[in-house]
Amino acid sequence: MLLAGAVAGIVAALLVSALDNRSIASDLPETAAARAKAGVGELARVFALELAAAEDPARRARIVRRLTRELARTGELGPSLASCVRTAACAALDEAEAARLAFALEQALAPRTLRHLARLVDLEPTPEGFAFLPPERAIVVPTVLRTILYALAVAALSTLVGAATGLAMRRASVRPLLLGGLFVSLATPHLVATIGWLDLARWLAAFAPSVASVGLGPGSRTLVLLATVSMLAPIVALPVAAAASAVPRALHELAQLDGAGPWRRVFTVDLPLVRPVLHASAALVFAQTTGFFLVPELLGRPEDRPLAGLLAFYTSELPDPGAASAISLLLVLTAAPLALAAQAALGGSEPVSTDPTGADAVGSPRGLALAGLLASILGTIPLVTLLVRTVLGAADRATLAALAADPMAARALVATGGIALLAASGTAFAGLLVTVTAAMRPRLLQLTIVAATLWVALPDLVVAAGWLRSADLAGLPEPWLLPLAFSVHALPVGLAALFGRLRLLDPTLFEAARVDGAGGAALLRHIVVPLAAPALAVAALIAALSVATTSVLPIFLAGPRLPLTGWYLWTRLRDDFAVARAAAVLLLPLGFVAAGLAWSLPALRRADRHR
Amino acid sequence: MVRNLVAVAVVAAALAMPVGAAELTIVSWGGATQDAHRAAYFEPFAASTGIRVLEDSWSSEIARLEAAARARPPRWDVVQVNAATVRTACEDGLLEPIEEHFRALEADLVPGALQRCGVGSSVGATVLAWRTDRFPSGAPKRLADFWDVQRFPGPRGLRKSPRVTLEWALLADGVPREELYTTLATEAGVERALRKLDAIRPHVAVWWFPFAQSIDILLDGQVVMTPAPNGRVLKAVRSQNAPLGIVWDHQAQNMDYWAVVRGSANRKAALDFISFASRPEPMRRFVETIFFGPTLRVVAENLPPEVRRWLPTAPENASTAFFVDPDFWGTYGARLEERFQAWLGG
Repeated sequence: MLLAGAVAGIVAALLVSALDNRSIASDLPETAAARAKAGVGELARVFALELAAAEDPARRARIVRRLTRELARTGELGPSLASCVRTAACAALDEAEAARLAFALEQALAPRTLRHLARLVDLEPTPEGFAFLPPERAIVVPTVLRTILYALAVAALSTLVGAATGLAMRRASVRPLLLGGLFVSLATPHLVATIGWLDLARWLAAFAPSVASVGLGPGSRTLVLLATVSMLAPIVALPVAAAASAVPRALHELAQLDGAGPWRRVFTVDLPLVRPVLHASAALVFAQTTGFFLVPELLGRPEDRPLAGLLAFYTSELPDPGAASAISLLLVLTAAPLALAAQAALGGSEPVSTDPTGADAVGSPRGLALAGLLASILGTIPLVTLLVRTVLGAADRATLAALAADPMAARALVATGGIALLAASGTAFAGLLVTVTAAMRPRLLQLTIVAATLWVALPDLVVAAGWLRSADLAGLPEPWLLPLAFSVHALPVGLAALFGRLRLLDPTLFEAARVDGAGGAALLRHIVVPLAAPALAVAALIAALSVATTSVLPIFLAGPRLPLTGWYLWTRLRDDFAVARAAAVLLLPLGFVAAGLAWSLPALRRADRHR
Repeated sequence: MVRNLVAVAVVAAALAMPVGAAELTIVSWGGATQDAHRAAYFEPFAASTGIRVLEDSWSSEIARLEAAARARPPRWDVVQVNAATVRTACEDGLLEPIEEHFRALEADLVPGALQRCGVGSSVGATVLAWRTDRFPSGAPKRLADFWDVQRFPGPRGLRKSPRVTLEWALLADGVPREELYTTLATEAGVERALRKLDAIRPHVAVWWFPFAQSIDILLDGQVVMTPAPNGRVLKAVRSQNAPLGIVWDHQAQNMDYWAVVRGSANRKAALDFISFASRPEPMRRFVETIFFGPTLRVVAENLPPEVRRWLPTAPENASTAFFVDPDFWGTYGARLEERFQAWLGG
């Protein structure tokens, strides 16, 4: 409910900001009062008098800036209009120019505007009402369609790859390798991974042009898809693995008695039972992809700027908070249909009511294990590429030496470790709350998955701004902001892992325990926690890794006062890509440590004992 | 165990937090520029005053400046801003008006360096960078050579942004410098610029996005010519002995400023820092490290010739230079970005 409330609050704030016109009525009170009743000529006269009388240079500059912008939006400024709004010399305006000035004043003085929302469908206000922009200026609708296609393709491919990896994880012989691959991928910041793919594409273009020409060279859409899937498939694979381990073994044994082979059992037993997790994870991947812009911008074609690229433009190059809020809203709206579809899929499937003995012992077909291995290798490709380049390149080795000797890098590692532990604990705790809720009120899970998906669709920039605003309002001390923000940051993916597992647990267990007189605390301690432990452990690990790999939250919420690796890398990478190559050397072990942790967590062992 | 983990986490986070009372958070551009700022300004200032300098980096994302300024107390104290931000953020009340405090400095600064909310710190430039090992028969010397694929064959790089790109297209097409922005303000001017870009488009192998990429694609040999920031080109030449050259013709100059975030709890220390950074000796050290143009006349006049020849502001390099007009881009930026993006997709 808290997550849903936070999403609703941010969406409402975005809507208010998108409708806010940042009116300059307080700078031009007399003109604002006259605009409703004066004709265009009279309005120009009132405006000229008021501008001429404005003595404060900042006020004058705000008026000039806003009005020249409004006039440039509707066509050429022209010398008469330019001297009118810059020097208050409006006497030379003809009637058409006075009408343009009146329209510009209307646009600048209104307290609210529909302009930013209309812009989302390439509509623009004109004196006659809203009109569609000409093709040479209409960029939002094509960008939205392109972004949706991109996100759909990534969600479909990531689901396929993630499902294969997650189900293959049941085969004990390949599990450590698969975990290693997945966690290396999760431990690679997207900034670094993108540069890794870029290096690989360049290398292929130079030394294996025939391979590059089939869609793996720079500027290829296949490369963009492959790179994005390599980054996001783990957030499908881990929840699927958690759910697959709870598929009742008895179902497999029954199917086996019916003569079903390993592959047939994957399709008739496993996939139907993990289907809700696949839906939820696909929705999460879709939502996350709509916010990607570095991968398409760096690896894709010049014309392939995604929606998030437009957002970046409106927050830095041409600051326009209204436009940025409208695009953020659009990102959430784009993800909403898939979130609702995932919710419907969760609601439509009945819980399985058998004993909770997991099916890990059943294993998985050899072919699937191979497919899973190949898929998990995908996520390690960028780091390996960067490593090879660092080993071969003298300049990159020098950067590595500089990085290793930088005291700020060491501070960033220490701080990241601390915040990662706090965030992991926070996520596990929040996950536990959800688990308890799910045990008592299963329908709430559906609301949570929708909220989680929409939360993921919110641009990090917006989420960070929301956290800062909340912290200022609540007087929250700065050191607490980061652990709190990161605990929630990784929660959606952690929840996907939890859903899969909880849905496959037998509700009669709780009833039986209650009949035996178990209270809430005993239920929690002896049933809920042990059963949810693997999923909680996965959620906590993902939270810890996201602290090390995310950039926007550390940049906004902490900066140098509490330097995290995401902040550190971002500040260095802006100047020199060689830093990404050097960082790869330091990050690869981190992935393996995480995989080792995942493998050896006491929580996982306890779950095995429970079985 | 969980209790122990939390304890470890709190201790680690606390260890990473800076300690001490007197602090000043200064925000620069990251990378080589910030390295040069640190060596020339931050460290000597900290050593001479005992004030601890904390650093952050940004890329003119106004949302970050707003977030930093609206926090209580503000998260940043001193910030590097470009010519557009020093005006707009000042008008929007995000920066402190400091012009009067530094009025006495005005006569020592180059024109335009003292603004209502900022003191000019350096002049950088976007220049045409090229691979010196690719054209043995003669070096490109003019901006128009970027379009001359007969004499200077090889793939080109261009920034995925209309800024400077459209200006260069018009200048290469023969528009005089003094008519540049009045031409670009008209539909006919924009069409003319895009037609000129059409001519080179088939030869553009990389449309780059972050500035770091501009040097990366040159060093990797993906392109033989591209616009790039002069400081990064020279850093690659000096630190890696990279075979890169600069065409100074029609370099696009921009000035950076020091500004104080509105409501800074360390306003006095912030002003002291800007005073320190506006002294000749630290500025000379900065210029000699990164080869940006100084804003103090006395520094520009007294630099050794081997440094001066690499500066965008040196008279021999600046004869055809132009300043990127922040007012023009503030007015027409949205419209031109849409046109440029639609052109890229066409």
